Amino acid sequence: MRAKKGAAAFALALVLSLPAAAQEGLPHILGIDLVVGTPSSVQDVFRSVTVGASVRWLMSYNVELSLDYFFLGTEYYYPDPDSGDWVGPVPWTSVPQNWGVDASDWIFYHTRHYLAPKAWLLIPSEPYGGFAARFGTGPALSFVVPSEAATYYPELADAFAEFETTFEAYLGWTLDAGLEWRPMKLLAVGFEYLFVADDLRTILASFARDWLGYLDRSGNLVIYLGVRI
Amino acid sequence: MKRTMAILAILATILAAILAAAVCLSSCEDFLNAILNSDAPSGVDASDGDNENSIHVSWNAPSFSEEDAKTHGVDHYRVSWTGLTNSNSVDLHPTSYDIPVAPENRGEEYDVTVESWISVSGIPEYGGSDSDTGFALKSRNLSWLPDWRSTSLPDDAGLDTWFVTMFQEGFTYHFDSGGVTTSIVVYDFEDVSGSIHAIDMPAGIGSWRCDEGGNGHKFYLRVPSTPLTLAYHYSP
Repeated sequence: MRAKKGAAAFALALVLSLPAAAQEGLPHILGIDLVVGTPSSVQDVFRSVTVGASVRWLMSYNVELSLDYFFLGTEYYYPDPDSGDWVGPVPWTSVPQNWGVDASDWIFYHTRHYLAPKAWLLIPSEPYGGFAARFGTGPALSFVVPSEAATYYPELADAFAEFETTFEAYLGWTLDAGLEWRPMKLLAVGFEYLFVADDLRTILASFARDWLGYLDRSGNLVIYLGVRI
Repeated sequence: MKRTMAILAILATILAAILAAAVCLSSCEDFLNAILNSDAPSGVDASDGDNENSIHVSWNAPSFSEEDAKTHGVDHYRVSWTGLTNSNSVDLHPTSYDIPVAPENRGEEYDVTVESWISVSGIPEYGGSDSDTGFALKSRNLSWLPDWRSTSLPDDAGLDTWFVTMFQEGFTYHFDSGGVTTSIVVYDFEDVSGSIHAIDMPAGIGSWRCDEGGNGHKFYLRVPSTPLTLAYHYSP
C-alpha cells in the first residue's frame, strides 16, 4: 500500500512538472552517467562499492528526471552434499568449497539489481553550467534475475520460487541531495547523498534521533561522471 | 650556439610530429573508409541449432562510398553452403535465406559463404564475400534431479537424440541405459565442430565428473539412435 501511495505521488509530481518545463521552452538535454555507489547500512541496499549507470532527462534548468541503475551483486545456491536439499541464497563465502571451482564457474545463482526512477529539483548557478545543487526523490526498486540453470535443475527452480515469496521488490523511498559541476556544457561530474527508507516518517525520525550519526552510517555516497547531449 | 641547436632540434621534432600526424590521419581516413565502405556483404550469421530443418543465414548489405553509390548497386547475392554430405548454392536479392536441412543432416556443420555481386553500370561484378558456420538441430532440454529419472529414446526412428543441458563443474552425472551398450557424446553448446568428451557405457552404465566449462556451462549430449530407456541423475 505504501509503495502504491509513493508511486502515485511520484507520478503526480511528474505530471505537475511537465507544463512548467514546457513553458520554459528550453531544449531537452539527455544525460548519460557512469555511477559508483558506496556501501550503506540502510537495508543493505549497497553491500559493497558498486557500479551503475544513470540516464537523465533535463526538462528545464530546474527539473530533471532520471533512471538510476546499480548492480547489487550475486547470491548463490547449492545442494547440501549430505541432505541434497538446496540452500540459498547465500554469499559465495558460505558455499561449501567441495567442488574446487571459483564463483565465476558456479552456475547456481541469482543476480540482484537496483532501479530507481527519480524526479530532481536543480538549483544551478547558471543555466546548463557551473555548479548546481540537486534534490531528488523517487521509489527504489530491486529485482533479481535467476541463472539459466533453473531450467535444468527443477529443485533449484523450487528454491528460487521459495525465495521469491519473501522477496520485496520495493526497497523504499529515496531522498537525494547532491552537488553537480558542469565544467563545460557537455560534461557533468557530481556527487549525491542517497537515503533509502521505508517512508519519510522513518527518515525524519532517524534524523531527529541520531542526526549526524544517521548521516555517518546510513547514507550512500554516489559519485557520477557523464555527458550531457 | 647550443641554444640555437636546441631550438632547431625542437622545431625538427615538432615538424616530424606534424608530418607523422598527417600521415597517420591520412592513413586513418583510408583505414576508416576501408572499414566503413565495402562492396562485400558483412556480418554473415548462420544459425547454430536454432531450427530443426534449416539454417537461417542473414547478412548486412555492402556499404558503398558516396561516390560509388552513384554508380553501384547490388545485383544479387550468392549463398553457397558445404556440409559433410552435400553442398549447393542459390542466387537471391534479400539479405537472408533459410538453407533447407534434411533430418539425417541435423547436427552437421555447414560452411556458409555469402558473395555479393555488384552491378556497375549494368554489369555484375564480384564484390566480395563473408562466411560463417551453422547447423540445424532438433534438441530438447535434459533436467537433473538427485534421484533417477528416465526417458525413452530415440525421439525419431533412425536418428540420434540431442539434448541441451547445463553441467556444474565438479558434479558427477550418472547414466544407465538398461544394459544396452552405448556412448553419449558431449559437445559444447552451439558448437558441433568437435566433441569434448564421450561417456562410454560398455555395460549400459556410465558417469562423468564434469571438468569442462562448456559454452556458458551449457552442453549438447548426443545419444545414438539405438532404442533404449535412458535413466540419469546427478550427485553433487
